[in-house]
Amino acid sequence: MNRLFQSLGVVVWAWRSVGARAGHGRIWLPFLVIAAVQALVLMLLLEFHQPWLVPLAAPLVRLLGGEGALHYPGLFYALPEMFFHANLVITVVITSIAGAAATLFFARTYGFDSAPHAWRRALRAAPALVVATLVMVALMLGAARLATLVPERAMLENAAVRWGTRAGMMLLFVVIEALFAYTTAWIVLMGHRIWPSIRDSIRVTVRTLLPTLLVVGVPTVLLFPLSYAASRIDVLAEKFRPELVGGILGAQIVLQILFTFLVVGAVTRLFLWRMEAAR
Amino acid sequence: MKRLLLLTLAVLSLSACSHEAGIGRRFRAERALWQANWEYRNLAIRPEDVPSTRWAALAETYEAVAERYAPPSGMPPAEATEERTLEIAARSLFAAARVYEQLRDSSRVEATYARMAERFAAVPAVAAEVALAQARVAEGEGDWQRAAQHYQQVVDRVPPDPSGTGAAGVVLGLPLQIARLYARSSPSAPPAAPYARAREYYIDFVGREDGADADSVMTVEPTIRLEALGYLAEIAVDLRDYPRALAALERLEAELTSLADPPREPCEVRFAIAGVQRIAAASVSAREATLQSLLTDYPDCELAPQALMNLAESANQAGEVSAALGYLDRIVDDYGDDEDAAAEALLARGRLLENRDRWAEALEAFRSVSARYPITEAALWAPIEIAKHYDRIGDGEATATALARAERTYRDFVERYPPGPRSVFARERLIQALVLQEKHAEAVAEMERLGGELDGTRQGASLRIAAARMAYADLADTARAAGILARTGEAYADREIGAWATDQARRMRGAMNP
Repeated sequence: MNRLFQSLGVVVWAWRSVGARAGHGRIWLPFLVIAAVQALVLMLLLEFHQPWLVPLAAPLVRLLGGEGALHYPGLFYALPEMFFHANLVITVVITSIAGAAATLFFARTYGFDSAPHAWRRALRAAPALVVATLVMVALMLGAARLATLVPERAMLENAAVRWGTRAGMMLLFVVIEALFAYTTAWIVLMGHRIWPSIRDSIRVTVRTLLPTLLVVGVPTVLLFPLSYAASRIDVLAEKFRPELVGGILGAQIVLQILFTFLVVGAVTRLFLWRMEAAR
Repeated sequence: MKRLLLLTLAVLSLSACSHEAGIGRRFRAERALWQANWEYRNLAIRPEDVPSTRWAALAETYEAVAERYAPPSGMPPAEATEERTLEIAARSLFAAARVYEQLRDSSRVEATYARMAERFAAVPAVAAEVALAQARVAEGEGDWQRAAQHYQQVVDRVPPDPSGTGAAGVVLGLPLQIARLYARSSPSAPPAAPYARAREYYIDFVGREDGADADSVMTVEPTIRLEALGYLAEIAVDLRDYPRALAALERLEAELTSLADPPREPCEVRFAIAGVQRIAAASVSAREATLQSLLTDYPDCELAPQALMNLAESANQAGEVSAALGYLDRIVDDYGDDEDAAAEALLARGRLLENRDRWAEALEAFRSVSARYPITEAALWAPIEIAKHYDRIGDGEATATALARAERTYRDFVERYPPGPRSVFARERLIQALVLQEKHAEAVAEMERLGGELDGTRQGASLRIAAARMAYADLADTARAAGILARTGEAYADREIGAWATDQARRMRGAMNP
């Protein structure tokens, strides 16, 4: 119990450190880049039918959602999954690099790293960042396959099984994300290569288990209602309008940016705290 | 070489662009129709609260969707995406017609279908649906020849698919319907040519009697072949060619029996055979043998009570009262779960005994039908039957008492049970009881009330007109009769009957104020 309160104290301290830096405009830039790319992709999917956009966007919609997504309201039923898949690519290609730049910006404000050109350094480390993120995403997708082991009939008929599976999967994702949480910091702040950075990230996570799980897990839990609403678009479309899913995903982008800011800032803070303690 | 490569690339990308542009257009058409349908669903929750202007606006929205996404008249769609967009435009116009139908604006309904027929002539599936809708409108207006011509367009355009929806699902029955419509327009004799055409149509699926085309018929889907056999039997009945009708039905029953999961019950066909034997005036014993064989071969058949009822009727006509009563008792004993059949059997028992002057037993049957099966049509007939008996034997006091009791029974029934077909039936019997008691004012009021509630149906119009007639003839109240007719004219303004009622009301009022 004492450890839990200690961990909570550490997490609150890390969040307060992040909160104090919320007014630094430059730190927000990487997150705005991520949000802009996500918003662009969402708009591309939603407005694919516009005459000036359709030659470019229709093949993308077909690729992500199949022929059914080219119909109304089929597009909106397929949109959460399509956006999820597009977001995986964004996470690997954009978020990994922008997250590294943000880590460097945070580290500088925490007084650790004073070297300039954060973006240039992040881009230089891009191959390692992309591969490390790819490994994490692959692990998450592999973990998602575990849900298919639960008998479909039990999922359909039993609410406890359904919600238990959802909670289990969420916990698994949080654990994977927590184990990889310090990889970026190891790569851009300590100059590690891919595999040592993953190995050392796992070590730091194990040593800082509860605070890391809380820092990564709380935003995931807070985002759950929106991702759940998007996954039940079939029910929502019956009651309201299918376009609602676009609004839900838009809100998800905004909230995700706020929470990613919080997570990256807090993880960097915890990482530097660990490094200082080790010294 | 480089130029050629660039040109090829440009052509390829242009063709891809035009295909994708079609997809975007289709998506926008689907969205527009979906949004209009959404509005329709919202309005249809409480249609009585929606002003007609709002419905008319919705119909115009549907028309605007079609206008925007349908290609110019008669142009066939170049590819599947365009065809789909065209179908959406057609569905939109169908929806507009449906809304106009709801508004009883028959001229706009017809105009919409006429526009569709012209616009979608190049798309067989849509053109067939339009022709089907036009045929139904014409049939509703009593224009048999025009209806037949539209149905023929459907037959010419669509191959049958009994499991399909729309025109493909109903086309198999249309050749017979066409022949019947021509028969209706010249009632003196069934026209040979349309029936011959219908027969040829069905024979293509069934095969000739000499088996000349047996191989080609083997490829026909069994459901289509079986339905076609049924229609061939009906054609033969219409043409009074009973041996051929019986042969077709016997073949149909044999084919159905050979199937593990027949699309219809073979016992229904056996019952139909008995029906044909009856109209063919075949020997009573042959018909009875058919009905008896139905009971033996298919004891669980839903039509078994009806077969027993027919056997009872036959036995009664032959003067075999106890045999007839035995059949009726068998219905109650063996098929008591079928409340309507059991109640009908008890009522028939009462009528039979009353005809044979065995009133005490008849009265017991009439009373037991009301007591055992109170929510059946037979139970509602029973009080009137009792009154009729006393009237027949000239017992005025007992007749009045029975009628008063019948009136009370019907009023109780209407009060106790929720509105529905049974309560309409009870109210019709109530009107009958009131008329028999010569309570004409009350009968007129009830007829007008019920007629108003059934507005839009044939029965509603008949009740209103009967009320006017009674007000004029029995109450000698011309003003009331004219008022009822004027209201009938307003309620059926878009139909022939409405115009006739308005005209009659004007004449009556003219006669009152010369």
